[in-house]
This record gives sequence, C-alpha cells and structure tokens, in this order.
Amino acid sequence: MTSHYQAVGWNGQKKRYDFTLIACLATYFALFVPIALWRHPDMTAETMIIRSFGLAAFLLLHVILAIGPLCRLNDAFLPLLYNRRHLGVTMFLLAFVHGTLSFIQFHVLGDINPFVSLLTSEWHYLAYGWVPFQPLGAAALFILFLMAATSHDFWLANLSAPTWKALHMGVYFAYFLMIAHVGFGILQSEVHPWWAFGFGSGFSLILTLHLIAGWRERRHDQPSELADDWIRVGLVDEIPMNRARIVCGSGERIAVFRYDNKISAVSNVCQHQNGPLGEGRVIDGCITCPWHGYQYLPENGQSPPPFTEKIPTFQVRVDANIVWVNAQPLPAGTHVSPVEIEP
Amino acid sequence: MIRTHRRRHLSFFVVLAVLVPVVFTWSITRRQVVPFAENEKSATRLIAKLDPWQKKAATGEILESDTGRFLQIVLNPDSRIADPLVYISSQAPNSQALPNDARLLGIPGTLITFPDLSSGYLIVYSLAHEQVIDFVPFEVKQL
Ligand code: FES
Repeated sequence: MTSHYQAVGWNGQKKRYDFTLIACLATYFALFVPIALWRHPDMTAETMIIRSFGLAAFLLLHVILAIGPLCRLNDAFLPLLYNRRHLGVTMFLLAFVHGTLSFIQFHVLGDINPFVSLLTSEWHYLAYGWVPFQPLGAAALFILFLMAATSHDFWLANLSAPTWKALHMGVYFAYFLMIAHVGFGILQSEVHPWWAFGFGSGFSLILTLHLIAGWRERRHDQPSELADDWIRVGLVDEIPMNRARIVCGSGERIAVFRYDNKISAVSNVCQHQNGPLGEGRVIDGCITCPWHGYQYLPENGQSPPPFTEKIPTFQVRVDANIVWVNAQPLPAGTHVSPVEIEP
Repeated sequence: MIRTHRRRHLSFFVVLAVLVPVVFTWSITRRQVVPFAENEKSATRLIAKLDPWQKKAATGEILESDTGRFLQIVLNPDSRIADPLVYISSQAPNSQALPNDARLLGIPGTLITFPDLSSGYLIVYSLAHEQVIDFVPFEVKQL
C-alpha cells in the first residue's frame, strides 16, 4: 500500500515473489532446451525460442488462472495472490516474444503486407477444414497487451475497481482464444498423446477450480433474512476475535468484525481490487485486506492517514448477546460508533 | 470481488466449460485431415502416384475431380520435419536451398490445389531448418 504512484512499490515480499518467479522460469528454460533438442535435434534457434516462450506463456496463464479460485478454496494460497500482477505482466512478455518472433519468421519476410499475411494467409485452407490459428493467437495477445498496459494501480484508481475488474475479465476470453490457438496450432503437428493429455488436464483443472469456487460463492451470496432492515449476524461469541463474520445484505456482502471488545461492520469489498475484507484480520487496530494488505479503520471504513481509501460502513446493535447489522450501507467513510461488548 | 462480477464470472466459466472441451475435441479429431468426404472421394481419379522420393520422407499422389486437380502429400511418420511446406519447381534442387523458381503450394497433410503444369518437381521443405528435406519428379497429362 503506497500513498502515491510509483512504477513498483517494492518491498521484501514482492522481491521474494519475483525472485521465485524468475527462478521458476530459469528452471523451465533449462529443462525445455535439452528436452526439445533431444526430441528435435535439428531444431533451429528461432523455432526453439518461439516454442519455448509460447509454452511458458501458456503454462503461466494456467498458474495465474488457478490462483484466484485456489485462494477462495484455501487461505494457504493467499501469498500467491499478493503479486499476481507481476505474473500477468511476465506472461504477456513471454507471449509477446513468442508472437513477435512468429510474426517475423512467418509473415515479415514475404512480399505481402505482414499484417495482411497474418490475418489472411490461412483462409485459403478453410475449405479443407483448416482453422486459422494465428489470428486467434494475435487476438489473445492484443487482449493480454491491454491488460498488461493497464495493470498498474494508476489505472486501477482512475478507472475505478469495478471497471478495472470488468476489463481484466478479458483474460477469460484471451484464455479461450489461446486454447483454440494451441489446439489448432501446435497440437496439429505434435501428435504424441502426452501433449493432448497435458493440454486437456490443464484446462480441466482450471475449469473445475473456477466452477467449484464460483458455486461456493454463489451459495454465500443468498441474501440473509431481514427483520425491519436488520440482519441477524449471530451470537457475539460466534465472531472470532479480530476477525469477521460475513453476511449478505440486499446489495453486497457485509463484514462484521469483533475486536478490542467492540463490534463494527463495514463493506466486505476492498477498495483496491475488491478483495474480501471479511476474510482479513484486524491488525494494529485496522482491518487488513487478505489480498494485498490495504487497511481500514473499523469504526469509519477509512484508511489511516496519509492514505485516502474509504469504504461504506453499517450500523450494528447487540440485543441479548445477539449481533444485528443494518442492511443499509452508510456513505463510504461515515463514522459509526462501535458497539461495546462485555470482555 | 463484487456480487455482479462474481455472477458474471460464474456464467463465463459455465460457458467456457462447454466451449473449451468442444474446441479441444474438434482440434484433436481434425488432425491429419482426410481431404475428401466419402461421397466426393468416389468422384476423384488418381492421375499420378508420386515416386521415387529421394529419401522416402513422404508419399503422395495427384488426384483429379470435376473441380480440378489436387495434390496430397503425407509425410512418413518416422521423419520428424519441423514446419514442413510443399513447393513446386521446374528443376530438381541441387543443394539444401530451394530452386529459384520454386513456388509454395501448401502444407503436407492437407489437400493442395495443383497448378496446371505437366511436369516438374515437388519439394518438401522445412521452414524451421531452412532446408530441402526431399523431392520427387512428377508428370501428368494436361487437362
Ligand atoms: S484487494 Fe488489494 S488490498 Fe484489498
């Protein structure tokens, strides 16, 4: 969390994250090159680069897409989410090298405009069941470029988190295009069953994880029962100390926190990337988002100075040891006195 | 994540769970394209069997149907050729480079429209290795 924009707000955790990423990529290339040379001893350097970078980007996209649902299913994966954007930008760069070199090798050296060649050269074969896989890859690369270019917090703040999120959902369309690009591209000539098995396992894993996580979230999104605009949260003791219980209001989820013998309620949606605040903890008196550590004061939903983020707050009451929260959100940053409870 | 996005996200994945396996199955089953549907196949005539290949890296034939002439070249499964292409030329290649008048026809394993030429050479070339892999002379009667 930084109060001003800089290219990357480096800290120890980000450095460790990126170092691990670079180490994994170095290991991948160190394995890919000898295996590729063993299988295709005559492979040229250009083909080696095109294939190794393409496969690296495709594998990394699977890792990126698996992180979100894994974190929804198990907190142990949260550290992977912390700097996922660097994974995304790295994946784009790998795909960019793959795409640019393929473009030069297969289109730039001919006598027609290379972009026309990229978009039209395969259409002659449509009648024979050929699917033009190169324009599919180019379209995926374009989407990945838009996402990488807008990945910085500057865009997140200026586009607003919901718009930014909607734009970045383009990754699912890019993923579909990449699946088709690989299936109708390299999988046509790499006919060993292991390739098809690996490819099938990869997308099966991603689809299964997202469907399971999505289904569970859907169950949690059923609106809670209202009694005169108030939602029953549960007994005081059912809210773990320095943590929250999440209930679903008429609009968004509400996180009801218990801390320092007090109870406060805020929106469950972090202002940064809409992370689930109710799954975070109260640290140093502040609600701390589990995704990237943005912090908010429980009584007014404001980030402590010099930060300026604000989230909606909710009124709370306790009757006969039962906690109730009002379903109507108050404007972001509104102070609501916490309810004092017995120690 | 906010609620509408969560809902949209789940809908995306329900759609992807249908589309991705379809694309996968389609891409796997269309490998090594069989060029003709059964009913069209009977309407084609073999007009030249391509032989002898210098290195036996491929087999092939020239076919004729009511719509024209077609070339079909199938690579020998043992010969691993990266990015193979089929060229036609009036001369046999005398090095690993393509002859000057070589023209690209298409890629092996697909049905290639055959030009109105009566004789010459068909060349299998690896774009990745930039070298001629094999070639074969052909001779057919003019249409
Ligand atoms: S979503 Fe990034 S800190 Fe909350």
